[in-house]
Amino acid sequence: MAANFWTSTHGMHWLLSRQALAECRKVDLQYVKEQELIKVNIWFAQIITELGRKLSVRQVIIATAITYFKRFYTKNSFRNTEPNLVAATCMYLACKIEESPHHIKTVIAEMKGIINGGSFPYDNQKVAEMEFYLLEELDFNMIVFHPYRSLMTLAQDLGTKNEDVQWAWYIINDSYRIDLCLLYPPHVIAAAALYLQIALKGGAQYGDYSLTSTTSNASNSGAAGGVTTRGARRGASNNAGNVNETPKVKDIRLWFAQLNVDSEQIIDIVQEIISLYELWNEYSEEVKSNGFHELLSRLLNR
Amino acid sequence: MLAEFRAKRETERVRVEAKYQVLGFISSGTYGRVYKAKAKKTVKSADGEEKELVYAIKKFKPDKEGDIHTYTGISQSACREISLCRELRHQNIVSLQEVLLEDNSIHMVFEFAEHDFLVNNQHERKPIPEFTIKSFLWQLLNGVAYLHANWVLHRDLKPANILVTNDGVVKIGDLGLARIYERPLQPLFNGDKVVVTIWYRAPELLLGSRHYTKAIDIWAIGCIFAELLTLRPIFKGEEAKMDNKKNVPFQKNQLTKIFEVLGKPTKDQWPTIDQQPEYHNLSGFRSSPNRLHEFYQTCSSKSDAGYELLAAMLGYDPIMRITAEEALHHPYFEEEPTPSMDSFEGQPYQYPSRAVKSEDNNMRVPPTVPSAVQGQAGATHGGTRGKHGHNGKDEGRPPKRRG
Repeated sequence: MAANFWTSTHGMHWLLSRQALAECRKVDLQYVKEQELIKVNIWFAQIITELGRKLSVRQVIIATAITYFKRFYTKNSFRNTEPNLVAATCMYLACKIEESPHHIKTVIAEMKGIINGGSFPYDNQKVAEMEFYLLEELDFNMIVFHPYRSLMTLAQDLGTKNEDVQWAWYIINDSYRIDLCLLYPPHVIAAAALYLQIALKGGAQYGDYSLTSTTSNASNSGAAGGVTTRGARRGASNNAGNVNETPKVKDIRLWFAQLNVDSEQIIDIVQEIISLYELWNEYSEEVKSNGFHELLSRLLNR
Repeated sequence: MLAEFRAKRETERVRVEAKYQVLGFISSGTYGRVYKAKAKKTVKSADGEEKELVYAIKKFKPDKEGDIHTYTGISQSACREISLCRELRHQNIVSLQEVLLEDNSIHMVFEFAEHDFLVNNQHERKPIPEFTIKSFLWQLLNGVAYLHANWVLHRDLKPANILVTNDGVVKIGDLGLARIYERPLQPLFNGDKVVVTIWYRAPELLLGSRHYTKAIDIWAIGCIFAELLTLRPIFKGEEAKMDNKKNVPFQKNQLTKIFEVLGKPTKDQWPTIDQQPEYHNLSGFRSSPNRLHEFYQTCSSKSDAGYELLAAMLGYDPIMRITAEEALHHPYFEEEPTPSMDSFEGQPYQYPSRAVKSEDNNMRVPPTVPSAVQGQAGATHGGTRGKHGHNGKDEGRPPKRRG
């Protein structure tokens, strides 16, 4: 388990196929389009992240809470549940399981602060009750693996500089906005984040970084085109100073080949993340213009 | 909106008593109570016979806040135990069948084990055959080696928490204090100020170590091994109580008991002993010789290898203490009688069973005389909320872990 992902409940029960995932969303897709549902997921991932920041919890706890939230919504629809209540409950449980418990009142108070009191009319009892339901929906599988640890191991092996790792770290944070944690093992997501970071930086020092000749153009141009990204934005300022450094790095293509991860999976993940960044910009505009809130009301029917 | 969801969940929910028939009460602790129960549905075995499946159901009490019954979700202890039991799968770890929720209480349904390491020592005190002791010890180490390989510390190993099935298979139970220690987000000390029941608590914990390791579980196993040999706790100290400011007191009496057998530790035996937070308190102890060999000669076992293994598990320096994996390959286990996965194999001796009080078979009400069987079967839950005092003169029954 803790030592072996493949024998963990995460590895055995919580890696879903895209078809299975699409099946789970049938109810909600009656009311909104697929792209819109992704935006709803971004919204709630943002709320959980914000709640985590207010509670000053570590990134891993935020990631665990978002994973619980996503797992819950593989068995339920937004339409028929109370996503704000689910979100707060996920954070409450994630803090406990990661051994950094917060009082239920604190979690509720911070949540009220984030989403204007009125939309969070829940008390201790409600959150505690929801926790029971959440546990049942999770089938009591509470230990979640994350890409962060694999990232550190991979980066060390590749000889990546710290600021570059930081950038890949941000990409992993962003990856929790979409379904990657339900679809791919964490070490593959970590490899993809590292790859994307190298590709976005145009990392000449790593040699030819295209994974395959046919897809290299697509992913490179996609990456170059989508540089207005969250992770990328934060990382961009770090770039300037490093150009002349020649750290000891391995040939990236050779290194990925030896990784024993499916390069097609890495490409899929990279493309998903790039699409996320494009959609995220659109989403940010809609949040500002109130278009998003109309969408949310339509989905939740309130 | 929630009403609809709730209705859906409630109809799907299985009532505990619809599925299980409670046969009797086993034990209680600050966490709640354990009952023996059988599944109402029987299964057909390979030879076509109807077979009853028996379980231990651990019912957690809802958390209390002051006197008001405000429910604030599942306890940290239940959270740990459930999450770890869901992940772990090993012959020597008690297996969790399912978890049911009812009346704001968690019910954990475990496979049932008839015996434990405590019951014999507490009541009958019949010497245990060496074959059985060795098989117990080997299987206990086997389970702990699995936990440690998975970065899990048990942190509450003691005879009451080690169960044995009718087929002589050891099942380590009560993972309520266990936790994953691989790069923890918080230092282990921050979560739980006090771990391990006092008699089984390692010297580095007694000296205030904040960053303890899996070696604390090995110390406890050493104590358990000695207890199986002599039917008495080897270091039967009295726990100093925590003061009102929740400061962890110095456990002078427990250390005295340890030093009486093992001698006062020297810097040669434990080079970093002077870095322990409570080191200054040791100046009050006179140096004393190691009498473990004398102690061992009073035991039923005459094996020199057995003595060496015991000494290696009760090594002072946690870094030098033998690991579970190493212990499994110790020469003691290669000597006759070699251990078996059936600890009772071919033994004429009848190992006593845990008491089950059949008159207390209503899970909704507390048992009539709960204190009579306290101390058995994982009854020390409650982490930092333990309220039960302990009577040091109470022969044979270990005190509650307090915090």
